[in-house]
Amino acid sequence: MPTDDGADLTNEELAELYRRYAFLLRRRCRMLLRDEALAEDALQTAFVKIIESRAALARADNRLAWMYRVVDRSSFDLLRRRRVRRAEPIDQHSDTTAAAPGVDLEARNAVLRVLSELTESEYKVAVLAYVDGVPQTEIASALGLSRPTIWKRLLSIRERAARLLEVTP
Amino acid sequence: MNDLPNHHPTGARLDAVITGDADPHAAAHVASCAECAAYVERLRQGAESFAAAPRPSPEAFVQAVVRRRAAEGARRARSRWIGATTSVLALAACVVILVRARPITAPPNDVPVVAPGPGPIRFKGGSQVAVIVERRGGQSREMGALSVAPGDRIRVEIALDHDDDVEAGVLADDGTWVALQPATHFGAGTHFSAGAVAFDQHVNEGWVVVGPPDAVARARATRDLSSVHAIRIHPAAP
Repeated sequence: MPTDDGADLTNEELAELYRRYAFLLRRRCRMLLRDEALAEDALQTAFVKIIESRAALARADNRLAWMYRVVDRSSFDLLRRRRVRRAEPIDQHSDTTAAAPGVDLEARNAVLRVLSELTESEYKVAVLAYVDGVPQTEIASALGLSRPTIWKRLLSIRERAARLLEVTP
Repeated sequence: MNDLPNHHPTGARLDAVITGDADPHAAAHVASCAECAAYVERLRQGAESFAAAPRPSPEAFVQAVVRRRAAEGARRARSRWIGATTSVLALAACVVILVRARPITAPPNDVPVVAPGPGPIRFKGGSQVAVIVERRGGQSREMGALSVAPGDRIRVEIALDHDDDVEAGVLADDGTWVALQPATHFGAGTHFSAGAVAFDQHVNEGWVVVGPPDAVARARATRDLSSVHAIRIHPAAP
């Protein structure tokens, strides 16, 4: 595993990270983007950032969680750039349909449909709340925001998702 | 949608169980919660299937990432350079326009394909194309002429050092066109085509064609392949 010496990751270290984490990272990209080609694109972009982040990766308490933040950001960038592109139904990505036990599947799938419409701060809140099932207090702590702020953002996201579902059920 | 309290560890913490990154509390919870244990087991099975046949292979993926990083570095350097030399930029733009506006030298449609110069593949400035061939569960990356057998499946890998609009497909010698990648604006980096083409029992000769949408349209209409990447497809010897 990488050590905290400030140098870039070697190709061998990168390949090892891929072997160990690619399944979960690709699964997450596919869930967020609902598009195979875009997911591959996001994964590559994330690994370009990871190459230069040896020190941050070595310091991370949970490497997977740290890499999830990187692929979340890469996916967000692609969503913003390609927001007109029509995403595939989540059902087509069978390995992403299963949600962790604490996640409300219906709410998650509704929010996934409006991700490209969200601002970056809303997107972060939405992914933590509806994809990972993180409680509001923990989201507030992680993002340095108050719980009422998180509550308002979640309310806004839910209303947008509901409006979209009314138009395109 | 509701905000019911969640007594299970978060999804990311559960996912970390299969990579060995889980915190002790999450690991202990999985050991005592059948619902979370089932979720983790499903993930573990998926990860094991992926590890048995990763696509792309770790080596191919790393190479693609390294190429993408180099391309992004070149693009950033070019942006700095362009910002510092406005007059040179204007000249460069003129050159680009001249190249893009080059008159079509293609023969009429009923004349055979104009092959793309010597060799089976052409490289246009700043981009590179390879074909990924899947055959009987294996995978190879080809940059020269392809020998394709019935049952093979192909898709293209496109490496760009700049943002560009790209379209790709298979142009059979009889004029049939099968899309691999609809016209799409790609950023710098390596991209795989959204679609793949599977060959049935009869493999027609033709070309894998990749390029800007206008150049691809010209290639399809005129069979002049001089402005696109073109990789020849031959039926494999029986």
